[in-house]
Amino acid sequence: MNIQRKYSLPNCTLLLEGLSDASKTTQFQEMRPELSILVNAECTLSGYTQSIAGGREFFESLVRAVSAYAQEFLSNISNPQAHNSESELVQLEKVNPNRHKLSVRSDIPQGDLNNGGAKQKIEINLNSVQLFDLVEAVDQFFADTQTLPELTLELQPVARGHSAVSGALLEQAVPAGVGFAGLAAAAIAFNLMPAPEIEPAEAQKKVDETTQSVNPEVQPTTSSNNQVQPTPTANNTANSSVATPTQSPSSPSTVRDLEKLIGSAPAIKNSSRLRKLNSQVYSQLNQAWQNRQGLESDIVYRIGAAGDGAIIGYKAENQTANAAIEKTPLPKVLYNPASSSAIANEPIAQFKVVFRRTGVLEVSPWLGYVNKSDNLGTNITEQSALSNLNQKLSASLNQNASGDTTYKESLKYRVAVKQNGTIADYEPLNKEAFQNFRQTPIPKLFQGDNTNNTETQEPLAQFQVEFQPGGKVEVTPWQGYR
Amino acid sequence: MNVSAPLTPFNSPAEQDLPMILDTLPDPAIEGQGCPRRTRQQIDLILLAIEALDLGGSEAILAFAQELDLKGIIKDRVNLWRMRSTNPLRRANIRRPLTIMEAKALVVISCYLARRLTVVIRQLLMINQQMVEKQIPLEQNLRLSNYLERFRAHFRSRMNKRRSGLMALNSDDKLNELAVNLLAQLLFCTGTAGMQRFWISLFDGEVE
Repeated sequence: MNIQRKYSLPNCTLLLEGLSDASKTTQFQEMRPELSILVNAECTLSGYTQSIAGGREFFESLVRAVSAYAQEFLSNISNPQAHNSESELVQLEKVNPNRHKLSVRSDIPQGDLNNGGAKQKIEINLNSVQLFDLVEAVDQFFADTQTLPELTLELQPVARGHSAVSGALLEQAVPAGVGFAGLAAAAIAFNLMPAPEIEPAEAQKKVDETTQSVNPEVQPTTSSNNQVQPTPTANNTANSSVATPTQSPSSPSTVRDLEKLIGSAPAIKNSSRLRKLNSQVYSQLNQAWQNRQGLESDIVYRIGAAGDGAIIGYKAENQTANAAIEKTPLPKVLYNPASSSAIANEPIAQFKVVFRRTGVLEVSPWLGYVNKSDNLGTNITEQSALSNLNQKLSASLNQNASGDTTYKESLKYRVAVKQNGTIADYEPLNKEAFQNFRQTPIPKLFQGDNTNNTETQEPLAQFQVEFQPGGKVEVTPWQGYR
Repeated sequence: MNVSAPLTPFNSPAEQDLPMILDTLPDPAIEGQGCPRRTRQQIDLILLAIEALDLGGSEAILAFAQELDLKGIIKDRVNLWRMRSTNPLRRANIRRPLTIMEAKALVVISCYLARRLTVVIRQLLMINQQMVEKQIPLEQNLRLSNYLERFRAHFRSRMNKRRSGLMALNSDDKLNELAVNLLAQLLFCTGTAGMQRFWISLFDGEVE
């Protein structure tokens, strides 16, 4: 069935044309069928007769760039996703506070095919009101659950010093192909493992277009190996028939099974990164989890998150979890790798995600914060020195502690102390400790930079410090007295 | 520690009673309980722009707090003033943290107020656009110049000129520019996902 969706604003009209998935629309009484296959997207802006148009890749790139640039506009902090000329077809740049340049690159060579190189580029200057209308059209699309429901609004603050992050992404772009090869090998190995239960309805999604096949639940483990080859071919034909500007050459669309990803990718073990990712995963899921009723029991998943917090795979940990996948936001928040560079060999962190029947979300590292004491450097282990420092630390913490505390549970930290008794490094060990850090005397006593503690050459004494509600402090050596 | 006293409004027992509307805004991954400097500054300036647009702006903030069931967070005028005074640019800058929950409440109210003013905001921005294109001084349009004048007056009466951030904001032109930029940001707050977008943008560059 041919469907059109139009999002109209005074300065911008977004027109989406596509098809509904015939196998899914069994209910004919459905008033507004789901547009699940995008054939053409067209965006017309006031003052420009030429509209910008393209297929799925263009549209995904458009909504990403627009969304990121809207954030940049609000915060005045450069958002790397808005102007990624390497991989994105659509970019937005600030000319001045009231002028914004939208540029659209087409991958279809113009004119002579033999010429090959000449790529068309359209540039449109928008004022702030036009920009807003474009953002609003995109947001209305996001809010429309009957049109490409797998594309949802995902907002994340730009990280402090994101330049380092984007640098890391560039480094990873090169060995991605290598990782993909390794992954194929891993896929064969994992073929021997039993396939997870698949919901029957999910199988139908296979007839969906390109990126639909990216959903992990669509791919049973056993069949994924066979599908590695056919899928790209299918993409090609689909693309040419619907005139999508490009195919995604590196689309690792069949590698979403978490087990396989874990098999091939290095694990993120560093506890501070895990903690950061933990909160990113939590906020993504928490935000996306709309309908919190209807769970019959607590359901548990193991999920894999990439270094930037994107959820790149999940696995049901019990039978109920498998059946209830559609009640969770997991399919919605799953990162879509076809839309960006390959994620094949990015390091992965695993988390345990529990959706409580009561509507509460819990996220914790799958293996706990195992490596917290990995990089502690040389330690002071001599008994008398240790007990001496223990007393010193305990005394200075007690001296500076305030009785005026608001936390209700005890806060646990790992604290490293130099030979002279000053704090060299610390690490919160539980959530309360992280949240109520400012109420402890540690920030007062700790002078320095906590980020590169591994570089300190000095031997340190490691302690566990526990602040109990009311301000009582307990200090014990990290590895006990021997 | 000295920061603990003003924190009392928000402790775990009250957590369950918090209005649902705040759940639409996710907690940012920042350390500590208070909002970063830029967050506090931006929220206060957005509210300042609303006040410059709408003569009853400050009354409306309290009225919306009531309507949106946020009275538990924004209790009264003094309470509101203390929250806004966490803006480091303020003359009467108060050294107390602005909690995430308070920030959320202020953001929700700003966006509701902005939505109510959508038509005015759009018109003023269009006027500004035309004036700039035709190189006509902004003062020649009565509505726009009213807004700009009120914004400058509010800004000068409440902000501390000596704060380093303000050194660049000493001329009418600079303040007009700020006022127009805030107006455009207000427009973005009126959108379908405007509240979420504004909220997340407040933490750009602040998370790790």
